[in-house]
Parts: sequence; C-alpha cells; structure tokens
Amino acid sequence: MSSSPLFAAAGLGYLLAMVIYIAYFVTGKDIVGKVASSVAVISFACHTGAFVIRWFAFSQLYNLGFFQSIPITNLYESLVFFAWCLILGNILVEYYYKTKAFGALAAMLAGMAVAFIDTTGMSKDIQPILPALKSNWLLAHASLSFIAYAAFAVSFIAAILHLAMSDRRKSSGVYIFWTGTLSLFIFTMGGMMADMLLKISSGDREGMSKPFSDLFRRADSSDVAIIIVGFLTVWLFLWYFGNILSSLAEKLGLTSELLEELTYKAVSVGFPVFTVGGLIFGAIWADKAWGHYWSWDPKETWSLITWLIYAFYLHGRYVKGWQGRRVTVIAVIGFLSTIFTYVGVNLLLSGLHSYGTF
Amino acid sequence: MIKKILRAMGSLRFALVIFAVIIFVSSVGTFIRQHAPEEETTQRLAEIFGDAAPAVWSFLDKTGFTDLYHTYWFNFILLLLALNLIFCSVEKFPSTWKKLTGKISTDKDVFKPYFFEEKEFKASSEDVLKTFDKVFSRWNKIKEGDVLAAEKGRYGKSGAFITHLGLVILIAGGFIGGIFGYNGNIAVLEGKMENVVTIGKGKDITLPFNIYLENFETEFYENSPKQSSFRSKIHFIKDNVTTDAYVSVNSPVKFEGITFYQSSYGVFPNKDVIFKFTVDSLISGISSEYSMILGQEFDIPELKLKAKLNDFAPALGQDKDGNLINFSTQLLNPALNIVFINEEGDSVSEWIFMKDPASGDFSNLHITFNDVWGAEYSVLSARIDPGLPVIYIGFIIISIGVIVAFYTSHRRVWVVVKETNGNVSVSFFYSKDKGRVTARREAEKMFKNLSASIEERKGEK
Repeated sequence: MSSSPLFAAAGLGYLLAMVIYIAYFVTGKDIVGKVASSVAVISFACHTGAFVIRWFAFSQLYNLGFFQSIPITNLYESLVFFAWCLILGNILVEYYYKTKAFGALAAMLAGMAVAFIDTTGMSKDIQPILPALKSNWLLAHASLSFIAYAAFAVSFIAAILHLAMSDRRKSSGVYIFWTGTLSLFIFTMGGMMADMLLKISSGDREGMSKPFSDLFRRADSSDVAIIIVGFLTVWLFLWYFGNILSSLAEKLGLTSELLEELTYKAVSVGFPVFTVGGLIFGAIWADKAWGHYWSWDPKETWSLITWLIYAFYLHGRYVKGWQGRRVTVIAVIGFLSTIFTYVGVNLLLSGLHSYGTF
Repeated sequence: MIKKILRAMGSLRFALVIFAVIIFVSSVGTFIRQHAPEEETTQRLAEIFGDAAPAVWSFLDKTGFTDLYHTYWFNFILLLLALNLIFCSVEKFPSTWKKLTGKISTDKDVFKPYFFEEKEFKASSEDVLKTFDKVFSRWNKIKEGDVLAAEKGRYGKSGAFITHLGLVILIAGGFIGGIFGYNGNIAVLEGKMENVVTIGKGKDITLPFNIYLENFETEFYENSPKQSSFRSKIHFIKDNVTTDAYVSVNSPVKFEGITFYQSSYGVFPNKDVIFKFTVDSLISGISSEYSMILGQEFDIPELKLKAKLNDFAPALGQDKDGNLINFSTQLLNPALNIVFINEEGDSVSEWIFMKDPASGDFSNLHITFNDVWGAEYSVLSARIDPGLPVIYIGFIIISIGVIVAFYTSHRRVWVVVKETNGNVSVSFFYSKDKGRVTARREAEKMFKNLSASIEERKGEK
C-alpha cells in the first residue's frame, strides 16, 4: 500500500483547514471554528497514517528493524515530520489555551510543506540510509530532536507576534529586530524551496535533498550581492507592512500576556526534549558508534550553543527587569540558532553529521 | 570578602555571562576548521586577510583557536561554569530543602495574592472540610480552622537543583576522561599489522598487542552504489594468542580494556594488492580460483588462451559520451582489466566488474571477480575513558532533572471558610508556579469541582 494518496489528502486537508480558519476569523462564528479544527484533525490523522505506512515500507524494503527505519533521515522526510509536529503543536495549543489564532498559520505552513513535497514527487522516492544511521538510537535521537525543533518553532511564532505587538514604531529597535529575523527566516525557507524546484527542473534528484549544495561552493561576489539584495528586499517589504501582522494578532484576540506565556511554554516543553533527546541521546549514540560522546563537531557544538541560548532565556526570566520583551528577543535568537543547527551547519561547516543531509 | 566572591561566583548574572562567553567562543570555533593543516587554514584566511594570512594563522595557533576546545583557557571557562553551578547549588540548597520538606504554608500573607473567587453555600464548615479531604490528598489546616491548604507537585521544586547537580557530574566526568583516558586512531592496511595509536599532534601510544586486519568488507544496497554496511575483520594478537573480532559502525569491540570503533576507511593503491577471481570453464565444467597481483599471467588451456591481469580501476563508470572513466578512489565499482591472448598472438582486453556478474560472461567461460585484497585500509579509533560511568550517571541525573523541572508544576490551593448563621462563605486561592493563563483555567475547573462536591454533599444529607 502506498502512502501517497493519504499524504496528498493530508496536504489538501491542511490547505482547506487554513481557508476555513480564515473564514472563522472573518465571520467569528464558533461553528466555523469547530469545522476548521475538525478538518485539521482529520488531515492530521491522514498524515499520521501516511507516515506510519511509509515507516513500514521503509522497514520492509531495506530489511531494517522497526526502530531503525523511522522515515526522518533526509530533508524531505524531516520536513514532513516537522509539519506533523507543528500541527500536533497547534492541536495542543488549541486544547490548552483555547485559542484558534495559530490555526491558519500552522495549517498554512504544514499544508505548503506537504503539498510542495507531494508535487515535487519527492514523497515517492525511498532512499536507503547510510550505515552510520543504522541504529535503534536513530528513532530516539532524530525524532525527539525534531519534536524539540517544532516546539521551538512554535515559540518563535509566538515570540515574533509578542514583539510585533509590543512596539509598533518603525524606528524602534524591537521593530527592526523582529522584521529582520522574520525576513531572514522567510528568505532562507523561500530560497531553499526555490533551490529545490530548480534542481527538480534540471533533474538533479540526488541534489534535491541537499539544499544550496552547489550555491556555496560556486557562489561568486555577484551571487552574494544578489543574496544580500534579495534579503534586504524581503526585510524592507516586511518592515513596511509589518504592522499588519500585529493588527491581525490583535484582531484574533491574542494578548501580550498570552503570547509571552506561550513563548515560554513552548520553550519549556522543547527544552527538556532537546536536552534528553537531542543532546544526551545524541551523545550516547555517538559514544556507542564512534567512541566519543562529545567531539565538538560543528553540529554538536551548534546544538550546544542552541541549548545554551535557551538556557540563557530560561534563566534570564529570573533576572529583575528582564521579563517580557527582553527575554523574548533571546527566544527569537534561540530559534535562529536552531535553524542554523538544523540546516546551516550541514551547508557551511563540515563534520561528522555531514554523512546524512541532516 | 571571600563570602562575597563566592556569592558572586554562584550568582545568576555570572551564569549568564559564562553562557554568553561559551556561546561566543564555541561558535567561533566552528568557523575555523579545528586541527586542520596549516596550509589549508592559511589558504582560507588569505581569501579574507590577503597577505596578512600567515600572521593571522600564527595568532590563531598561538591563542589556541586552531584547536580551541582542547585549550586550557576553554577548559578553564567550563570549569568556571562548574564552579558557578556548585556555588549556586550550595547557596540555594537550604531554601530548596525547606521548600521540599516544610509544612504547607497557611500564612495569609503568602496566599493573599492568589485570590480567585468567593462563593456562599448553604452548608457547614464541617461539610467544606470533609469535601476538601475528599478532593485533596495532601493538605493542612490551621488551628483556628478557617484556613485549609493543599498542594501538589512540590517535588518539582527540586528540578533545577537536580539538573545542576547532573551538569556538575557531567563536567567532572569529562575532566576525568580528558585527564586519565585517551582517544586516538589506528590505521591498518589489509594484510598488515599495527600497534601504534596516534593521539593528536605527535602523541603516540604503543598498544601491548597487535592488530591485524584480515579483511575490510563493504556491502551495498541492491542496484545502488550506496553502502549498506562496512566492517573490519581483525585479529588481536597478543603473545601469539589470536582473538578474532568484527568492528563496524554502531558495534564496537572491547579488548584488554580498550574499546575499538570503526572510524573511517580508504583505499591505498600499492603494488602488492591481490585480486581474487574464479574462472569457470563452460566446456569442462572445471572451476579454478586465482589470487594474483597486477601483471601476472595465467593459462586457460582448454581454450588455448593466455590471460594477463592488465589493469584495475576502483570505481569504473561511464561519462556522458559512454567512455569509461574512473570516478573515485574508493572501491565503489571495482573493475579488473584482463587481456586475453590467443596462439596467433591476437589480443583482446575486457573489463570485468565485481558488481556486475554479466560482465564476466564469455562464450566458453565465465570469470567472477571476487575480491580486492590488500588495498583497503581501515581506521579504528581506540579509547580508554575512566570518566564514562560518571558521564552516564550525569546523563541520567540531568534527564530526571529537566523532566522534573519542566514537566511538573507546583500547585497550591487555599480555602478560607467563614461560617455565618447556617451559611458558609468559601474564598478560593490558587497558585501555580508555571503558566498564568493555564493556571486561571485550572483554578476555574477546580473551584467548580469543589463547589459541586460541597453542594452534592448537602444533597446527600
């Protein structure tokens, strides 16, 4: 049985859910909101089904143990898993915080990711995994790392909205900071997708799961100039229209207090998962496989940096006069570091983790 | 004075400063390739600094940035972090202990800020007390009887302490391993013996035994150039006693207290490489096995042919135009070139691929290319780490610590009961140490339950 139809259904379902969420914001009718949530939950179930089927397919195709075949070993698979975690996160937020404010955004991100992967046909490739990844620790280490990344992503969204609502003057440092970091995020993700599409059109299937793989090797000064100008354009655009986001957040009934708490909650859910699943399980695996639990390889170092930034955030909250905006800024920086750990390290720096794409 | 210094060393602000320093310094280390050859780094630096690159390199080398994580000053920063954690834990211990073991506070000043709701019931204070006892397992009452207090998840207060303790143990384990253990590499060529472990720059350790690499084996996924596994078949040889072992990624081997891991591998072309192949005659059905080096010849008498091992390519493939090229130095697609010469002296050259048996099909014979031996080397890493058990204890304690610290919360409830002619007014106070928004909802739910129980009790009577 193929996972593709379920997978396509999940993608379409998320996009449909997004539309209904928006209709809910416009009409304000509870019943519409309930329909939106239900569509999201049903799509999530399809997504889960597709994920499990693929897991089995992977396990059978390569005769691997069940724990060694969780499909999160390349960029495509990790993106799918990431989308899954994001929707799960949103379902939990809806349940615990009784707000559907993030529904449209989460459904949009997940829907776009799933639909993008489905249309590019990446979901049909099943690639064999490298010998180094054949371990039961793969499941524990990789899946928990992605769950933590997703929790940090939720905290990033909440933190950005918190900052956006806290100061609307276009000349203020906070305003410039949040538009800058958000555009950096959007620019990187957009660039990654564009790069993948280019590679698909040129038939480079191998390179598809290695974003930017040629760019950094071949980039000359004019490429760098284009990248910088492109980024600044996105920033300028966001800087100009940024207050639309904060007005929207206000309309959705989000308060500064709720956003701040959600930022903290998401970090405090993600932090232990990251500590245990990302760092400790990673260290144990490295110890079992290579004989050193910690070798200061760039990926390890950057995950430690990410961990320290979030530790800084969590401790910073106890410093007098640091509550609110100031520490939220650190949560935003933490997520930038997370992205760098997740994608950047493999692109720019070399080390042990460079065997897989991630 | 000393007390003051100790307090500053254990302070939160000092911790934040150390965090920032480690974040900055260790990120710098990821952008400079660690213990890379001088030429390589200088070349990279030249792109930015131009002619000043050698000077920049010597600065980086002297300050330790080329091997940052093993410098004394970097380890000193880690030590400061450990000291900060220790001082902080020692200072916080009495108050943490008090929080864990003290009685549930019924002091009005403590719970006043957590007022949630007040409601009147047609019941007695006795009813409220009984209900309270039914709903909460751990509770306390002050003598005057008008304040009831209950709590849940008090042990959560120990989370930070446990986490910090685990981190201290972890750092200690790291230092123990760094001082008393070692981690180095040993490279062995197929068919050779080795006993020297290289640890960093110019430091060697001679093992009390030899390691002989019998074979380095690689397996591939079907119809794919991708490896599914690789492993080294080795013998440990000590005092003429041989112990066989397989080392592969994710499955190390321990011998005489030293653990060996599969680290990397490669191909070292040399004139002693032996090629193993089988020649099956389809006429007589005779199968002969050969092990030969390049340049050697053999006869195929039935066909009156002479054959010569002419050439070898470790990874033979085709380019866009269909020409044969070698695309890697790894043994990705090994191919053997054999030249057949007949009695008249005519010769024909054929490539036989190890992974494509059909390439060995000829009209009257079949040649199977079995193995290349003596060309591959395997790099094993050898390790002794007496700090390892300490590290694992640290791991366990940290895991418990963060889970307790973040996934449990301390919830406290106070109820003030005032009895006035047959009615009671109940004031409800609720405190949760994490999350104000969710606390409000929990308080609502709890108060609803409590009210319902009180009213139900009244109904029962």
